[in-house]
Amino acid sequence: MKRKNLIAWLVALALLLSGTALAAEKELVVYSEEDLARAKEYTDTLDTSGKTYDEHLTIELATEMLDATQDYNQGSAGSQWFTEHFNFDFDLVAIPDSNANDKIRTMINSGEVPDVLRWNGFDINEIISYIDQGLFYRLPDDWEERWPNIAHTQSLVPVADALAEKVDGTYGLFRVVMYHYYPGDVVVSHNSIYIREDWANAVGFEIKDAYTPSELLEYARLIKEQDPGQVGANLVPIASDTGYLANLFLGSTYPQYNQIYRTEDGQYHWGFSDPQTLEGLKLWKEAYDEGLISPEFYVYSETDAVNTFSISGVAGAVLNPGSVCAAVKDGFANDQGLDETAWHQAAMIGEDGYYHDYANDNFWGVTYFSADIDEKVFERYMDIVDFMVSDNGADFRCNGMRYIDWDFNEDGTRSMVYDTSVYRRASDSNFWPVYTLLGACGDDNGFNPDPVDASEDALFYANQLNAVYNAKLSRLTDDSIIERDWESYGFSSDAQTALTAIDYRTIMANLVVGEGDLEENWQSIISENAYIIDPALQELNETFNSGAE
Amino acid sequence: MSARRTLAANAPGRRNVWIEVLKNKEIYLLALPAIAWYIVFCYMPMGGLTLAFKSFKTRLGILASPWNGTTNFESLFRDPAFFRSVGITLWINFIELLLCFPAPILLALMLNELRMRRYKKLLQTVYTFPHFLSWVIVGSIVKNLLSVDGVVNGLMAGMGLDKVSFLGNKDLFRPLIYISEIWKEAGWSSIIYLAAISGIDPQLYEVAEIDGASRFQRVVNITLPSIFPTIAVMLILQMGGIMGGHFDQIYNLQNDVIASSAETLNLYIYRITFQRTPNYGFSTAVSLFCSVINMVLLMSTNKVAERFGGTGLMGGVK
Repeated sequence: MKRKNLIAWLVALALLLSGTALAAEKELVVYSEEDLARAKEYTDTLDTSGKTYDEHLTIELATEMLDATQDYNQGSAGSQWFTEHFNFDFDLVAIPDSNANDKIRTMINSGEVPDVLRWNGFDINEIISYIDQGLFYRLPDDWEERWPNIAHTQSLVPVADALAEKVDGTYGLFRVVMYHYYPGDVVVSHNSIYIREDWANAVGFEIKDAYTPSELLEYARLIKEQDPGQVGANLVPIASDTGYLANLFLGSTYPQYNQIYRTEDGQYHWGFSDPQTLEGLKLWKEAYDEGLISPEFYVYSETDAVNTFSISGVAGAVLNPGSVCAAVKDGFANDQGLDETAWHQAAMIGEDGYYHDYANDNFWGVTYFSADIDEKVFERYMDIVDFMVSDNGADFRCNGMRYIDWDFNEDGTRSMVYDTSVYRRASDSNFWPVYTLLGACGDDNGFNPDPVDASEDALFYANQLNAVYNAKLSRLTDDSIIERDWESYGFSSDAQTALTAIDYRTIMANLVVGEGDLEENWQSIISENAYIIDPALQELNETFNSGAE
Repeated sequence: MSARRTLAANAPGRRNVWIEVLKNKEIYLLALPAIAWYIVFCYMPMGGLTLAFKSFKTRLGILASPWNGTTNFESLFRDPAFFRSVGITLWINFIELLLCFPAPILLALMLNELRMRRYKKLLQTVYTFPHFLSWVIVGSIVKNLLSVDGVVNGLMAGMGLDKVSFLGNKDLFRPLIYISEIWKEAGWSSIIYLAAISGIDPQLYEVAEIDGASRFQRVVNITLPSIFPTIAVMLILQMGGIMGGHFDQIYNLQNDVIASSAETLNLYIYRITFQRTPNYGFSTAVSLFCSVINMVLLMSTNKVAERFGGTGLMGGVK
């Protein structure tokens, strides 16, 4: 009995302590009343729309990348200002990122589209099918005049026009990636190669701004032979998952490997059946057979791969987005006690030494509206986003609020004033995501940090990102960037939908790991999938190529 | 009409059933929530099976969506992936029937033979515990144990053996399914057999002991025949699910290499419904097809069980 009492007391004490810890955590949110009032008053002047919002509205918004435990309506001074100024609150549905597509599809097909739905991953044919079924709201014809800042962001996304033409109206708002700052004339992907600079130096491998797959394999062979990090049997020369290895061995040289594409003669082809794809697969298999990539790359998640490199410190290289450099830097510093000189970030280029990719669509995710959305809710949401993507809104998103985060100096310049040990930033990253999800990504700010908030880390990351970006831009040829075939873009039919049944990850992983002759196995895969590919190609050729038989 | 009703009411079998129900009304009252659950979640959604013959349009709903005849079934029978998944499902489930179905029976028989009550309870708890772990957790445990960097390969390397890629070996994946299934569910499933064993008249064992029967003979000649009706019912229910099952388990254990050779029907339905542009009519056609096969198998097994002297699912009620 006594023991039970003791356990009960211990449990109660643990609960009390955790409650105290939570309360202490919330203490940090407190701002000076005076600063907060001044900050709100100043920020009110930034919204130049001149509108007032008397009626309080609730906007239902479902999206990935939110933390269901956070209060995005009142969590920071910035979110408080939004909810008060625009007189609304969010009813947020945080969709777990892991299987967001499955959940969003269920949501749409059960007729339960929330007022606002943000979706990162989707198939354009699928979206057109939903639009045809009347599941999404059609924006009013004059939306571009009413919300000019949003219209500007959409003008930077080529797909937006193509889709609007295809479905005769605007149904979605694309979240633009680069909109205030372009590192170059062409928008390219942020994919990068991270290698161990200290190991590369130890084995005499040249540090460059870009590597071909073969060069990376050469590096992997050297560190496998010499093991400069003394990792032993746990060494993984290149740690990456199936998707990124496909990017390295196939996509970097031949981006059409998993696409239906149109050649100059107007005919449609299946990239997977092209000899360039086989060449990439051979290189991949060679790397696997030699033990240069993880023996179980097909089990890895993207995070596993990065952790193997930056936290465990047993990998010689990893392939991941450019933005991961922050996690890599932290991992090396915190878990391996190494600074940024221990690793190097470079561009991934094709075997021919040039950068190849599909034309970047310059968006990440799209916002759709329920067909049943209340006009008032729609207009309020558009007002919020229009402010968010205005110059003032962008400044607010990057630097936060005057008096809370920054203030003017006597000479008219600005400097940061926030003290994170006392209170949260107005644009605190814990509470801010919902606003950064609207309208535009912060990628251009990552490349070109605002001088007001140009911390040492921010400048370091910007240097890394720009270096990789420029390495790609300096290796473009006339046919490096493959333009979309806008004529057939979004063409929807049963035969085209059936194409989505081909699981390239599984196919490629099996070809690489499988026994027997790779070329024969590859040919078998082509034959096995002919029942899906042939009707789709025939349909495209008949529909879009008048000269076809 | 009333004459027919009177005749029906006076039919001996049916009258007996109602008399039995009235006699045991308290117990039947307890069953009401379960009956309501089945009606709401199993019988009412059956109306949605009409989707198998329709082109589903979300805005129109199930009832107003246009009929498309047997188009969905025609697409189904043209899809090699469907037939591949039928083959994989049948293979996995029939082998499971051979290997995993007897496991809880054997475990129950062994537990029943233990004399130390505390030890027996402890073992029962240990064997039952894995059932309460989700397949997500079991999947992580298995991956951590069997990955190239995992515990098993670590031990093998320590003994000077080569590392083995357990998770990427298609030949090893199915045994992995059976082993993990037995580890997770045998203890839980044995409860029903232990309950059946506890209902056996102890005098039978006493008489057999007096007659000189060994413990093994008592198990074979008293325990097993006594729990045979329970085994038969469990077997029939298992046969009724031969075209399904294993979704959580395989979903959490699979990877890019295994995926195609481990795609059972449930995973196939999941993939075509949620991982690509959904066609609910097509998905329902697959589901309906599986349900019909399951029903045929369930009824056939029931008949076979009755023919071989068992009571079947209805406990002999005609």
